[in-house]
Amino acid sequence: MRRAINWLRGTVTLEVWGPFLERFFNICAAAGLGLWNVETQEGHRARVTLALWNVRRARTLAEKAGCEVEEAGRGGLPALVMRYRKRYGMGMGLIALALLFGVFSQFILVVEVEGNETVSASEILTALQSEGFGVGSYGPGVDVRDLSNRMLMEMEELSFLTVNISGIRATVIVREADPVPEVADERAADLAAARDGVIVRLDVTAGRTVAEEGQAVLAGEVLVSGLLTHELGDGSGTVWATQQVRAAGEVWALTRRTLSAATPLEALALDENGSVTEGWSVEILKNRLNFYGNSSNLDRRCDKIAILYPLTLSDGTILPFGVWKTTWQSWNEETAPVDPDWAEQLLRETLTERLEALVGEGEVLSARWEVTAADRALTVTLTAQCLEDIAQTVVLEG
Amino acid sequence: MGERRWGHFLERTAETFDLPADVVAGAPRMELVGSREFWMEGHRGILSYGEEEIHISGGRLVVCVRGSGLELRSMNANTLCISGDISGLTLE
Repeated sequence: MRRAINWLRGTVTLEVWGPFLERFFNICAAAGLGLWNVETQEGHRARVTLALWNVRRARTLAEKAGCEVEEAGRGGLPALVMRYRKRYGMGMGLIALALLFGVFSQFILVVEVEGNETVSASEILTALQSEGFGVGSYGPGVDVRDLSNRMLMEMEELSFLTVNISGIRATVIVREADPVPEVADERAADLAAARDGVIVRLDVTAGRTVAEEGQAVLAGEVLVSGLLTHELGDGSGTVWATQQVRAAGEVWALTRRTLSAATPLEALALDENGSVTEGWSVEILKNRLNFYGNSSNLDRRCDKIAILYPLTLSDGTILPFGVWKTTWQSWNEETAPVDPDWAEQLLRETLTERLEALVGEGEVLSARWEVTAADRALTVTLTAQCLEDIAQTVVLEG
Repeated sequence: MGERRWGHFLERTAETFDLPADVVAGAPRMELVGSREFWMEGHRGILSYGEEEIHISGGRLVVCVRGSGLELRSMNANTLCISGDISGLTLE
């Protein structure tokens, strides 16, 4: 510590010689001038080190002691500053660097999320960003309580949120709210046909079966009723009580589905001979500084591809600084023919996926494809016979 | 009472009452760390200085540090430190 202080204060090494060196030491000590590193040399000479501001007094005291003094060297920060005093660029650079660190240390550069289990960190960060907090925010200006309140109103999945800011790092600590239990729908309901079909099988677990196997039904027709009637046991058929229940079960039926999709047989193609222009920009705290001119007045249509090369720490943390490379690929509008076989295959795959999604757990029994090309477009139609569950719950009114 | 006798009296008094003599009587306090470092508080100045022998005034007594390669490491109005290969100390 003492050495560090001496270095900051600056030191001077003096070479002293004379017949009474010890007298010089005593006078200096008595006058409050601390001496250290006294190296004796031949011929009544010694080298002493003392603080920079004591040099003048030491010279005076040496005269009183009958000694002569010569400066042998200087050390410490003042000497270093004096040595580099004419290197203005370096000085300015150091000052700029200090300012840069001073300014940037006030901004949030890293945001971490802790305590989330089901809600992803990116969701929380996006919500925080929409509330005006994120990488590049001014740390001292963040009102944590207000931010927490707004976030809890915005994200119902969270029950607690706070932000700890430590230098350039912000840690968002969250606790998730307990999920609301799912309430079973117990309202009385019928099972109706979701689409036209011929019933193949009925698996009814609740309600009164109205339809029967082999029956053709139309969409909306009641298959299983939620209205139960209780008759007198005398065979007269008199209803003495009714009961509403929630009909449940599966009704499997043969259905017919027709799906269609079309695609043009001509498409716009890129002109590979188009020019490519590149531009660079720097991102600082989410602000971009462009090094290219106005790029919005390009004559031809073009693709714009922007790639960010962020500044990344060794632990993978991405800092809000980086370089953007923007490429403009200009092209002319040119139409090119589309391979009909390829287009048909694409449409077939699309329709198959759609049909499978519609049928769900059911199965496709047969499929018929129809391909037509007209008005520079290819149309594919799929007609399929399916076996599927057509039961649809319809809540009873009143 | 002469200064020397008064000093003796103060030292004896400090010893009797089990008080620190350097505080009560202003006696110098010396510390030898191994044989390479000698500290002295309450010195009155260096009387002679050399690589093999340094004489230091302690008021009523003179401390003679003997050895080789002796060097005054630091010195201020109250404390001094001598380093080197110390072979002996004599009080005169």
